[in-house]
Amino acid sequence: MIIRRLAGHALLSVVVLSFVVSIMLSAAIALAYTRRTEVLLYENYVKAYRNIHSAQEYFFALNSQAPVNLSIDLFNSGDDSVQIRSCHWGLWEAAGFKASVVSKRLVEKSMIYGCFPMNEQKSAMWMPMISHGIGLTGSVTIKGDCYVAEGGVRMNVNIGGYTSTVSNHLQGNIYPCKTAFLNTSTQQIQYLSNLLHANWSTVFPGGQQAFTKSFSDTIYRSFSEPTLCIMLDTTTINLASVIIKGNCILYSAKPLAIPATAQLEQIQVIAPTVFVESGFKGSLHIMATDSIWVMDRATLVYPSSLVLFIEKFKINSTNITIANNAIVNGIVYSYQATPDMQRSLIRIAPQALTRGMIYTNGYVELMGKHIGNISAMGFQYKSHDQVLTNILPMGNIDYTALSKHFVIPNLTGTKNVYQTACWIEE
Amino acid sequence: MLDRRIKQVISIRLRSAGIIEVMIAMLIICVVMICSSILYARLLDGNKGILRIKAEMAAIEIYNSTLHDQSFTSDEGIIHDIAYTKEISQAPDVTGLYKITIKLHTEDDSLIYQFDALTRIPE
Repeated sequence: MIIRRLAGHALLSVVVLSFVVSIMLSAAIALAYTRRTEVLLYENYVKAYRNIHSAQEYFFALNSQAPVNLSIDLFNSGDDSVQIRSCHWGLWEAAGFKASVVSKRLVEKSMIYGCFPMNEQKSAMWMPMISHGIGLTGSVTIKGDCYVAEGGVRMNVNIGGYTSTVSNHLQGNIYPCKTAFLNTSTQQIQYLSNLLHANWSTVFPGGQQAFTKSFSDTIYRSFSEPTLCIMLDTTTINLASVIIKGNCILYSAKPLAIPATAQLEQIQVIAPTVFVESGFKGSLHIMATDSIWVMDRATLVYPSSLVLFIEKFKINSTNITIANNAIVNGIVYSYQATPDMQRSLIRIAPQALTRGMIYTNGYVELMGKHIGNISAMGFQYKSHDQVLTNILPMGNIDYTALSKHFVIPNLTGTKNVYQTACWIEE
Repeated sequence: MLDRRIKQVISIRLRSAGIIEVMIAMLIICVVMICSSILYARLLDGNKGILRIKAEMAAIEIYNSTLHDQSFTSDEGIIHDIAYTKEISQAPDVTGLYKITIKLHTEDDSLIYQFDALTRIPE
């Protein structure tokens, strides 16, 4: 009886045992396979990122000043193709790279790029239009070389009730200017004009733009895709709650305020007047025709740009104002196409900090600190009872504290060695 | 006494095993052998993968030193017990752009890893 029962269970035992063993082996094989797939995927991602780096070097070596849209097989192996697309981005340039990883997976990276400062731009001050020199008094200090057209830099000037309170105003050399005028190329002026008038077909030749009237409040747009133009006058959008990054333009025909809670990264903002509200933090490329206000405690991260482009004669004064405790990293640029009675003014408040380059054919009212170079027609300082021209009674300029990796937009239109200012990733 | 009973039970089970049980047992053995060989191959490949990652790290190191030295000549050497050859050739069509190829191989000359990159080298 017992023998018969044991014999009956033999089949069951073998089946159960083989089942358990096969499950264990399947699990082990699956684990090994999964790990192998992960390694392969990792390797392909590494390769794709490296190909993007090579494509970036290739793109920089092309040294093309016009936008490109091409696809190249880097090493002629058939599996190293990278798509490159570039466009002007305000004063800066932008490019997007796309490389495939495996099947439908892609790696996309975008960058804002520019070039290293050259010649006179590698100084604290470049004033090619001044004929009677610059006077330093009060508490002003300058670290770096100065290029002044005529008259040089005069120290310890006693004027308008100001006397020197520091022993050494200038730590650097004074050189005469070779260039007689601040250059801005005709193509660049035309481009800025088209951008401000929303002539998208001219700004993005080849139809490299897209429009939207309704979208989610979170957008990442790579520069390897067409630019997304958001026309704020015809779109219902609450800017206070948006998160927008990359290849997007916010365009408004009316004055525009950027709320402190908006999360914007490398976005172009175009409007007649732009207010960056108190407490905002992000990177913006602002283009305006009337004025730009960066309120207190607002921080514009590198590489940002404030561009004031004045095409027509204006009765009211036009200026860029950077308020107390505001920080701007990048470039502050003002260009006046027609000579008005009033020159445009870049006003830097006593507690404000700007880092990078100030480039204008108008005046600069420097009361705060600037790290980098100022290229301008001159300085102007207004108090309640007087206007001082080309006399600096306060403020600091320090070119020596500027990072050696700092790049600026190519303003002169000359061929230069391009470098990445920042990478943008989702 | 107990040991003898267990032996007796196993003996009865084995003796009562028919053709189906034998087939199942053979199947299990086959599965175990196939799976072991696959697993072994995977593990072996895994070791190669580690060697490959090591080679990749070394290649990046050589690439960075190439950029630092701005060397235009081909050279060979040993880094982290992996032999390498470095070639810098002119990339076609674009002035100032170079192709750097770094090949890492074992002592018996089998290629572990190849690193290709385009880079600008200032003159």
